[in-house]
Amino acid sequence: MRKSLRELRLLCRDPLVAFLVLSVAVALILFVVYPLGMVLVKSFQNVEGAFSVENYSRFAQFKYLKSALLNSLSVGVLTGVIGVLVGYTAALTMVRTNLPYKRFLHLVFILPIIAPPFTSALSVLMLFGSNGLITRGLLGIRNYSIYGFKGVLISQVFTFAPVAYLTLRGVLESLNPTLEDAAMNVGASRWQTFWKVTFPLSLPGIASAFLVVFIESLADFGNPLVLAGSRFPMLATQAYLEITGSFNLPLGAALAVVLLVPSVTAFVIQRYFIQRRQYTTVTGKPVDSTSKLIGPGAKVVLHGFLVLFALSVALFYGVIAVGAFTKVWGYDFTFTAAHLLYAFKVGGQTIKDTLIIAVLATPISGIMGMLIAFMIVRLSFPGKGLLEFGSILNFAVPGTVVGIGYILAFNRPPVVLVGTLTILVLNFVFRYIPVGIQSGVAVLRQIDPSIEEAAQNLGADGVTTFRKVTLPLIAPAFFSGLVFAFVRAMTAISAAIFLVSANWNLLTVQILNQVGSGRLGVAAAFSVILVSIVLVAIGIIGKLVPGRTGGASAIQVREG
Amino acid sequence: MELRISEVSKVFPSHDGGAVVRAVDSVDLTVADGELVTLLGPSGCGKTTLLRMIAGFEDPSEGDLYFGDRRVNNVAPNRRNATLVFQSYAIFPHLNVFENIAFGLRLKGLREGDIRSKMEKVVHMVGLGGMETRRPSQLSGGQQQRVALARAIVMEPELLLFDEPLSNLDAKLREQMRIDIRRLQKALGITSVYVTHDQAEAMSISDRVVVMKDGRIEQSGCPVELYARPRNRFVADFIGKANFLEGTASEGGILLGGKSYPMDTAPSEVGEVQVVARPEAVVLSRDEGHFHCDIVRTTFLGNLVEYEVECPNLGTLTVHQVNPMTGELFRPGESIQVSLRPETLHILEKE
Ligand SMILES: Nc1ncnc2c1ncn2[C@@H]1O[C@H](COP(=O)(O)OP(=O)(O)OP(=O)(O)O)[C@@H](O)[C@H]1O
Ligand SMILES: [Mg+2]
Repeated sequence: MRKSLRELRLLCRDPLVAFLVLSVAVALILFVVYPLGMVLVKSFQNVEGAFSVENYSRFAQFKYLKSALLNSLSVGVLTGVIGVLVGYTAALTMVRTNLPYKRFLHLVFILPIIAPPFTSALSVLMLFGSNGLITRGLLGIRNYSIYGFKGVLISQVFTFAPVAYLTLRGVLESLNPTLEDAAMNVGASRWQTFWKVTFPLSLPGIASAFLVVFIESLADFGNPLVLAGSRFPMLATQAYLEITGSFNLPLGAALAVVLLVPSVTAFVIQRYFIQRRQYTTVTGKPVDSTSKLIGPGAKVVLHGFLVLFALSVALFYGVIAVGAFTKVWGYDFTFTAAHLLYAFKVGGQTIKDTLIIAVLATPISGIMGMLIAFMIVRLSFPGKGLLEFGSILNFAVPGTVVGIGYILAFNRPPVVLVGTLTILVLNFVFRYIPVGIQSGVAVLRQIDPSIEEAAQNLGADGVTTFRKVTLPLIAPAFFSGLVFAFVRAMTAISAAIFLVSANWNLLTVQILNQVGSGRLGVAAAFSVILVSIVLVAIGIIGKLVPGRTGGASAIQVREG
Repeated sequence: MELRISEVSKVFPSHDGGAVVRAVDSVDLTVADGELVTLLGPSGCGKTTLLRMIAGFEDPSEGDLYFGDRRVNNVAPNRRNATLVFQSYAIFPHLNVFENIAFGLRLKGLREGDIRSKMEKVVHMVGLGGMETRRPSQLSGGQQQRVALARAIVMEPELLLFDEPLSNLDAKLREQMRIDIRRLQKALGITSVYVTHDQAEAMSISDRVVVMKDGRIEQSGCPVELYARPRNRFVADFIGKANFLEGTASEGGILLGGKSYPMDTAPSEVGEVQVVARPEAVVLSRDEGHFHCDIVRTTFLGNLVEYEVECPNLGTLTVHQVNPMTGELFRPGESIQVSLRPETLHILEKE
């Protein structure tokens, strides 16, 4: 208590900082906590609005609803396991062997991250659907149904294995290969070294990657909506269907709460129990591995696996590119630009809307993310832990839940915001600040605090220090956070689908509509447009990044 | 400006629920206007913590800090006008040498012309002429150190603080920088606090040295005083080399190894005492002396020879013989005569 009083006093010495902390806190309460609270409240009401537990008792009674939970969980666990297996194998091979075309493979692996999360659902339909290239074309199977468990699983593995790969690559890169050398030096074989050193040291990272994929899988909306089908209900989509199909908002809210429980549980475990235990030491400079961990035989096998996986990814996105330019997928493969022209005709406005929203949301979310990261790492004030939790909570909250929360919170007079530009931008900002925060925190932890102290010592107040010293140093991380936020804003769907209107629509929603009405070619064309915009934007942001030397040398100063 | 540290303590909460750390423990110290005081002590004794409290980066848990008459406990670090030369230099990696040094001046809102003229002076003072446009990564360690120094003194602070500024430099450069820092500090007349754990550095640079241990001040005094009259064994051991002898003090003098030595001043206590004899206070000779001893080890160090001598009555002694080229050297195994110079013996306080 006395400590927090002192912290409060310190904060007041710098009134601007105090003001910032307060504003962020208020914003988080308004746009993160309050909507979630509304979902919880609504779930305990009946359709008339009186208090009742009928939604939960219905959930407990109806087998169909219960199976939605079971399906979501089992798909989540399996996607997590397979995703981590693929991701770990790929990461280990990339980090511990030298391949000439490593960079290229890396780019292929992370392709699914910059594509809308459900494009792989589209690919699955084009490859394994009733007119699928493989099922019908190659194997000649008729009436094959890919819908349900296997479809969702395949599609999600492709979508989320890259996430596991990226996480685990970071983990393995920061494991000092000298440890492996040391083990082999005292007589351990490669196999023993891996199981006794490398694997145990990366175990917290593996657990963490698993939970991240699990959370993302639970929250995934696009893939289940396209591929689950009515016989295989899943929570995120079921909640949506209850609201938009049956107009049963309370039941939808209750399903959202049911979905929230495993997500937040996994998140808390990941964040507060596992991340703490990671052995990775951030030295700022990933060690270039020269370890002999992977022998020649294993190398061949692992390379084979990598190439196979890269080829599958290429196939998945290749069919979309081809599909966008062929007449009728599965029957008539002659070239046409009709889909693309049609997409521009019906979707021109949507493309513009999507861009405006993303361009507005991206910098706001980036700046807020950095500011919050700065507060978390460098300031101490009462309630900091709570603020940190609140600001990254949205990472764990499935978009469906957020979407429902925003309808409930901001669709009653005097604030009717649903369907407006404001609400879409706000939604994106608060959904994607965790990304900015995480990259900001990582960089800030690497900048020697004495550099900031030096600025203060020379007369700079908190805000000036941030502006003149911290900001230039974290600029590279800031821009990569921006890229990510932009990609997410362009490709997100789960929360936004509740908030779009005739006036403000999103490309992702358009694609989903086209898939829904069976126009795979148009959907593919839209996907191609979307991915192109994202790639161009990444290029532009990359050009804008001021000399990367600042951040890099900051990190070296720390080491020197 | 005078700096007054009054009964200042700093308590850090423990991380793992264990006991709290009293990093600084009721420190009382006044640094006179224009004086350079060194905080000297082993690693972890609280020097940096004390310095950071003076700079305002840590808040004292107890006690008060005064800059002149102004109590500064609640003054933010950026309003203290006490610039610090950081151990890690903390040079802004995204700014060039000029902008690094001018950083604080720009914040003050000085006119461009004033900045230029101040910069010109300071850049030459620290010997960085011609390097203004270099990036920090293009500088050697010593040059980076000079940037950090220039950045601090260009502010014309009321108080200049140093946290082991030379610990990352090699021995030769360290000596040069010592001299430079001392010269600048004297010329500018800025009250300074200098932290180091290198006793030679402390002795050579300071008006006064404050020896710390476990967050407390053990003794403070000018270098000669600390060397000649250390209060206790810790200080005697930390500053220079020392032989510790068990003796019996009485009104007339002191009895060491069966031989009585007169003392200039009457000893403050009688009975069993510990006496410090510096290595150069021990005289070796083939012909005459008070004790029969054996040479165990001889180390030639250029300007002096260090002997390890085994004495039946006194124990093992370290002996320095200066100007070895003019006298005779003793070999290991040789039997010799040892005597002590009574005027250099000093009785330590009991611990
Ligand atoms: N932020 C902190 N939290 C907890 N304990 C701390 C903190 N900073 C310092 N300490 C502890 O306070 C004590 C004094 O630390 P300080 O850095 O002042 O030592 P020092 O004399 O500068 O040592 P060195 O010569 O190694 O730099 C140490 O025991 C240290 O572990
Ligand atoms: Mg220190």
